[in-house]
Amino acid sequence: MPDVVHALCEVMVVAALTVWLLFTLIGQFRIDKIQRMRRLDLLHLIPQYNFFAPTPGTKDFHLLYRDQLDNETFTDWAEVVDIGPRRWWHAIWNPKRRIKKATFDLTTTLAKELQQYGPILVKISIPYLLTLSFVSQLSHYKSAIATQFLLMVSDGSVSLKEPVMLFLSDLHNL
Amino acid sequence: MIQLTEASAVIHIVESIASISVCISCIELLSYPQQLNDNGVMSWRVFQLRHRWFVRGLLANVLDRIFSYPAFLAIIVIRLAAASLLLVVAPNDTQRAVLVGIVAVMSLCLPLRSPYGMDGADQMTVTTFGGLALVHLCSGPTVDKAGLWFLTLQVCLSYLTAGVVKATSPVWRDGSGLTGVFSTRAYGNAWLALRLTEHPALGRLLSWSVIVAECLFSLVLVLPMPFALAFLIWGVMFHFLGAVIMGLNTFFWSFVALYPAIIYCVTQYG
Repeated sequence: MPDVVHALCEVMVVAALTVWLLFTLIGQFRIDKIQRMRRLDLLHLIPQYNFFAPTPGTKDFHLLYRDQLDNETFTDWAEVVDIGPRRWWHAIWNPKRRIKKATFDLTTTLAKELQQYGPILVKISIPYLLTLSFVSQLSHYKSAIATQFLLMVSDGSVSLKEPVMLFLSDLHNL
Repeated sequence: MIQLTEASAVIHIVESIASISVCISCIELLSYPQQLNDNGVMSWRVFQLRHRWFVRGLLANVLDRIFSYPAFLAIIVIRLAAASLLLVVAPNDTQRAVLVGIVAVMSLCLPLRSPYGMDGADQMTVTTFGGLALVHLCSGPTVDKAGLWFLTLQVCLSYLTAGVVKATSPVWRDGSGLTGVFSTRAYGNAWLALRLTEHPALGRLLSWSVIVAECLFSLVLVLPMPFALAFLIWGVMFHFLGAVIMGLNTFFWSFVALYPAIIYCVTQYG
């Protein structure tokens, strides 16, 4: 590469790294206008470094579903993703880590959008459609004609409180 | 003993350690591929509805071919192959540049396809390989140093942000936030959660130790080496415990991979 081109390339790379770092710094400020602009960052180029803060997730969200059978009765509720207890090998190998996080993101976003848009409009939101699509492909009774999902929240392993219902979906034909 | 004095050698070490995180992440995804299918919790068929550009037009057609299931598994296999080569083989500079570029681009595909399921380790992987892919465009002493400073400042900013935001939170200051996280099924540890519930002072102490260490970590840049090393040892222990207690296995590799960059910057300019 000729010296002039190489020098120009160096300037551009250093400038790009500086701008990236600057945007990352600005992106850490919890100002509504800045956080709204994150929606444009579809590639997640600007990280959000406030891990587990200011309000850490201290609740467990549970996604359950049941079927309506052709004799008008319902099956028992079944939990969709049973993430199981922590194992020592999860420090090295944790293959269900991503589905746990995705289910956590799904349920927390559904709970947020339910609060923001209400029980009618939430039905056209991404988390609702995703949950419905996810639940529809699970195993169902042969005589099932419709399915329904339920979002519940509990206080974690040391609490004796019963889980609380957050949202009950409509019945959807299978 | 490896001397972290030559910027290009340090970059190779960073790339190799960061590749461990990418390899683990890819193998985990491939071992449980149904999470990526059209009805999974990371379904492209649903997530493409986020934006009209993802549904209609040329971009939608291209993305649909790449992101649909099972075609997307090929992206993960290519990402795994590139990261494995960076880790196991000793490629020359040109090959290394291509491999780093492949990992960077493929890493961007994951959040673009599905923002759910991404964590801080994925964010740091995008930053690491994205930054180093830029460096490889015209690698040389100046750009290599700039790349290592970029990564070092990203790590310091990450700890500082995490520490400051925790310090502003009442549940982190009184320790109940940490106890709460440890009591969840997703990131918790029932035994530890019970101990911290029985001894709230211990929870408060642990919580404050995290806040103080994260807030002060950036001092690593100005303290002389033996003292700076204390922060790096804390960081390694912190991420190790995060992996053991919370199951954040790839967090460890994604963050510790950048410590050679910090050591380089401290020893050269500290």
